[in-house]
Amino acid sequence: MSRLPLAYRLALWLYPAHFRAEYASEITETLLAVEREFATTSAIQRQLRRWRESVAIVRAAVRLRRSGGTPDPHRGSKMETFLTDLRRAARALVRTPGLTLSIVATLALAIGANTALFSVVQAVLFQPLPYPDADRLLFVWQELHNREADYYPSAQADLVDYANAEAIEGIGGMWAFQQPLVDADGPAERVPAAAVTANFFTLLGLEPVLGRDFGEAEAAPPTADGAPTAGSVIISYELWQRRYGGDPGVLGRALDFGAGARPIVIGVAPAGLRLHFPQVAEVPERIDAFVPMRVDWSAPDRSGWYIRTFARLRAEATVAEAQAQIEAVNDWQWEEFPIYANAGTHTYVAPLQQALTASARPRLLALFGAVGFVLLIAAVNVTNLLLVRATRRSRETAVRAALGAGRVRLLRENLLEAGMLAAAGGTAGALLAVLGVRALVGLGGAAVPRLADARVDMPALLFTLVVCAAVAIVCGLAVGARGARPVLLETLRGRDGLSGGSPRLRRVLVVTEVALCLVLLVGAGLMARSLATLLAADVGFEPENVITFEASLRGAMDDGTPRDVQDRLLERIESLPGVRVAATTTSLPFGDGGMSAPYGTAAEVDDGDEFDFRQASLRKVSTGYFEALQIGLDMGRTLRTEDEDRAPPAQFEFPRDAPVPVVVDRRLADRSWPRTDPVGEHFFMKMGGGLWMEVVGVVDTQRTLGFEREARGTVFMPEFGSSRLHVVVAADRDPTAQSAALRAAAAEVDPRIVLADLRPLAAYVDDARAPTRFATILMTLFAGLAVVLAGVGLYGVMAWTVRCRTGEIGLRMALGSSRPAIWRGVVAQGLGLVAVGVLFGEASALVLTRLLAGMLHGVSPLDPLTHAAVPVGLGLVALLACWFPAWRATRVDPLEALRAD
Amino acid sequence: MPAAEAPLHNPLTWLSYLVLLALADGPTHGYGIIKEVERRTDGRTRVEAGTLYAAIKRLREQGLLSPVGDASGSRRRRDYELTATGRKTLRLESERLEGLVDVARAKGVLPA
Repeated sequence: MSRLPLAYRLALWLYPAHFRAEYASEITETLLAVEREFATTSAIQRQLRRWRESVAIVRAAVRLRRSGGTPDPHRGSKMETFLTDLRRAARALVRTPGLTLSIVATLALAIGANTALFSVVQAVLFQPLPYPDADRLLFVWQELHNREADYYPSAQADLVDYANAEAIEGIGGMWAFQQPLVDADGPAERVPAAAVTANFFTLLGLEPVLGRDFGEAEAAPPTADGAPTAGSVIISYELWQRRYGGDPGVLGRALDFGAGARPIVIGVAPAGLRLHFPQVAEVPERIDAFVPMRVDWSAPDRSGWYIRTFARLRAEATVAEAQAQIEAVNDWQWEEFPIYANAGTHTYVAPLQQALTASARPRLLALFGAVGFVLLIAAVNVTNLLLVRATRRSRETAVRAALGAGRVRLLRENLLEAGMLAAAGGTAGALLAVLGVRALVGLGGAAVPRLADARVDMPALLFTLVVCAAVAIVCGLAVGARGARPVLLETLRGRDGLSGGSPRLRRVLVVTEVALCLVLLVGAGLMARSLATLLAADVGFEPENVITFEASLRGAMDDGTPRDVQDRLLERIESLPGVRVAATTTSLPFGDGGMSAPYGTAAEVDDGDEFDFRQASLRKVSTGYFEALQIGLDMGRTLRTEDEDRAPPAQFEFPRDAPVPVVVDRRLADRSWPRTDPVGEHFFMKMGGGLWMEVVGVVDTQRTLGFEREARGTVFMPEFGSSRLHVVVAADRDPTAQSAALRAAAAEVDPRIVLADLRPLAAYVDDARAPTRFATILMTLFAGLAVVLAGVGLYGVMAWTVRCRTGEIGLRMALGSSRPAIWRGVVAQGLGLVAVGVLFGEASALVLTRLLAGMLHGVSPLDPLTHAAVPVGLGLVALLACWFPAWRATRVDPLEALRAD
Repeated sequence: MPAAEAPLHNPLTWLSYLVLLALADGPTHGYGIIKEVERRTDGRTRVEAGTLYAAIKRLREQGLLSPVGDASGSRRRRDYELTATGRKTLRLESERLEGLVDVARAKGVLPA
C-alpha cells in the first residue's frame, strides 16, 4: 500500500504548481493514511471514499486556481480557457443525454467485458504456475488405446523406466486419498492426503517452511517382513495453523491416523501450497498430509496403475525430446512386458500448465473471440453515434465557424468532448471490469482451473482503455475536422447532413455491425443448443431427490462385520419418514473416478492374449442401489440379497467355476456380446486375485465419467461389506432438509460412524455440466450485448436518415403519398441494410463456427435451425430499431418540412 | 508566506473553526486533524484531504496556524500548531458561538 491510486496521482496534478510544491507530499501521505484506514472496509465503501477524495482535490484545485495567487498570469489564462472549454464540452454532452449515455455505455460495456475476460484468460491460460521454473514441469500420462481409457495413471515401475529418459531431470508421483485424523488436538476429521515419492517437493522446487523434506529414510523400500514402520508425514501450513495452532513443537510429534498408524511430523509445507494437476488426474488442489510412497526400486510393482506422474525437464532439453525418449521407453516396455502391448499403452508428456488448461483452453479462446467481436461492434457503434452527434450539431458548428470561431478552437472542443466521453466510458468500464471479473469467478467457480486466482489484469485494462479512447478521439477529431470546415454553406442553407461520402460510410458501418453480430449470435445459439442437449442427455439414472454421504464404519466394526453395521445403518435410514430407499456404493456417479479394471469375455480369455481387453468401471453396490437411483433394467434381474450372502472372498478372487453374479450396463453388454443374449455370459476382470463374473442382468448405459467423455462400460457387483462407502438415500421430496435426521440416525446406529460430504447427488451431476454452462452463459451474454449494440447502431442510422430525408418525405406527402407507404419505405431501407449484413455475416459464420466444433455436443456447427433462426431474430430486432424512426417519418408535417427547406 | 500580525478573522468558516479546534489539544498532522474532526463530530463530518490542505494553506496565510519546527524538515509528515493569533481567534469565535447559543436558549430554541 505504498503507492497512491492512479486517480489521486492524476488529480494532484491539477493543483497550481506552487501549491503542489508546498503540500503535495503531505497530501500524499494523508491519502495513504486514508487508504490504510479504508483497506479493511468493503470495496464499495473504499471506492466511494476514493471518489470523494478525488472530487475534493479537483474542487480545491479549481478554487485555488480561480482565487489566483499563481505567479504566472499567462499560464493562468490558458488554464482559464481550458476550463471554459471543458465546461462548454460538458454542457454540450449534457444537452444530448440519450446520445451521450449511449456512447458512454457502449464504451463502458466494451472495456468492461473485454478486460474482464482477458483477465480471466490471463489467469487461467498464461499465468505461470506458482512453482519455480514451472515451465519445466511436465505432466506424464498414459492412453490405453485398447482399453478406451484416457489420462491413465502409471505404475511404480513406469517411474523407474521413465527415469532413463535423459531429457528428464527427475520424475515423481503421487496418489491422493482421504486420511482420518483422530488425535486429541481437534475433532476427528478426514483430511485430503497424498502418498508421494520422496523427491516430490524437490521436483516442484519447494522446501518445507519448517522441519525437513523427505530424504533417504523415506526413499528406502519397505522392509522385507512388511512390519509397519513409524513413518513420516509432512503437513500443510494450513493444517498446522488450523489444528495445531502454528506450534513449532508439532515437529517430531506422532499424529494419530487411526488403525494404529502414527506417523511422525517431520516438516510443514509452504503456506498456500496448491497442486495444479489436470482435472482428469483427480488430484485435489489442497493436500493436508503428505506421506512417503514406499517404492521398492529394485523390484518395482508393474501391475498397479494408480500413480499420477510428473517430471522436471532438464534446463536445456525440450518437451519434444522428452516425448521421444519416453516413447522409446514405451516401445521397450511393449517388447518386454505383454501387459503394455495388451493395454495398448502410449505415454505422453506435456507441460503441466498446458495439460492443466487443456480442457478450458478452447472455451476461453472462443469466448475471447466473442469478446473481440463485441469490441469491434462497440467501436463501430461509437463511430456511428459520434457521426450522429456531429450531424445534429452541424448547423451550430457552421454558424459558429461563420461567426469567426477559430478552427483550432472548434477542433479542440470536439477533442475535449471525445476525451470526456472516453474518460467517462473508461471509468465506468474499469468499474465494470472489476465487477465482471468477480462475476466470472463466481460463475465459473471450480469449473475452470485456476479461475479463482483471476484479478483485473492491469495491462489488459490499459490496452482496452487506450483502444477505446483512441476510437473515440480519432472519430471525434475526424468528425470535428469535417465540422470545422470553414465553408458549410449547404448546412447553413438548411440542407442537413454531411457531404457525399458520409451516408455510404454509415451504411457500411451498419452492415458491418449486423454481420459481426450475426456471427456472434450463431456461435451463441449453437452453444446454447449444445447445452440444452447436454442438459437433456440421459445419464442412465435419476439424480433428483437423492442425497449422498460418505460413511466410515471403521470405528464401529468392533461389534460386528462391516456388513452388519452397514445393514443396520441402511435399515435405520429407511425407517426415516419420507425416505424411499437407501443403498451403498463404492463410488458415486460423477464423483471421484472409482475403480476400473480391464476385462475380457470368456472367449477372449481363452484366446490367451489380453489384446482385446477393455476397461470398465467397477462398482460394489447394495441391492437397493438400482431402485434408489431408478436405473432402468433392460434384461435379466438386478442384484439380490442372496448374491451378497456369498462368503466375502479373502483374496478378492472369484475362480472361473464359481463366478460372482453381476449386473452390467448396456454399453458393456453391447460391446462384449453384440449378437447374443448377455444374461448368463461369463467374463473375467483383471483385478485383485482375478474376478470371474456371471451376468445376471443388464441395465441402462451409465454415463458417469462426465458429459464430455465417452461412456465406459460399468459392472455392478454385490457389496460384501466395506469399512468405507458412499450411501445414497432416495426420498419422496428434496432430501437436503433431512441432513440432520441422517446424522442422528447414523449416530443412533453407532456414534463411531463418521459421516462426510453430505451432498445431493444432483450437485455432482451439476458440477459435471458446469464448464459447458459457464461458457454458454458468457457467450449468450456477449451475444445479447452485441444485439443491443447493433440495435442501437441501426436505430441511430435510421433516425438520422429520417431526419435528413424530412424534406423529401414532406414533399412526397404533399404529392399524395400515404403514411403507410412512407412507413414501409423507411422500414424497407433499414431491413435492406440488415439483409446485406446478414448475408455477409452468414457467410463468415459458416466458416468461423467450425472452430466451435470441439465444444459442441450433439449439434453440428452447421445446424440449420440455428443458422436459420438467428437471421430471423436479428431481423425482428432490426424491425424494432426501425420502427420509431419510421413512425416519426409518418409524423412529418409536409408544410413544415417544405418551409424549412 | 506573509502572515505576521493578521487581523482577527471573525466569524470563521465552519471548516476553519473545526480545524483550529482540532489543533487546540496540541500539534498534529493532516490525517490527525481529519480523524480528530471525525471523532469530535461523532463521525458526521469527514474532511477530505484535498479540502483540508486548501484550508490549511488559507489559515497559514491568515497567520492562524503554522508548521511545527523549522521549514527545512521533512515535508512528508508535518505537524501544525495554533499560533497565538490562532488560539485567540479560536477563543473569540467560541465566545461568539457561545453568545449565539445563549440567545437560542433565551428564545426557547434550546432548553435553558
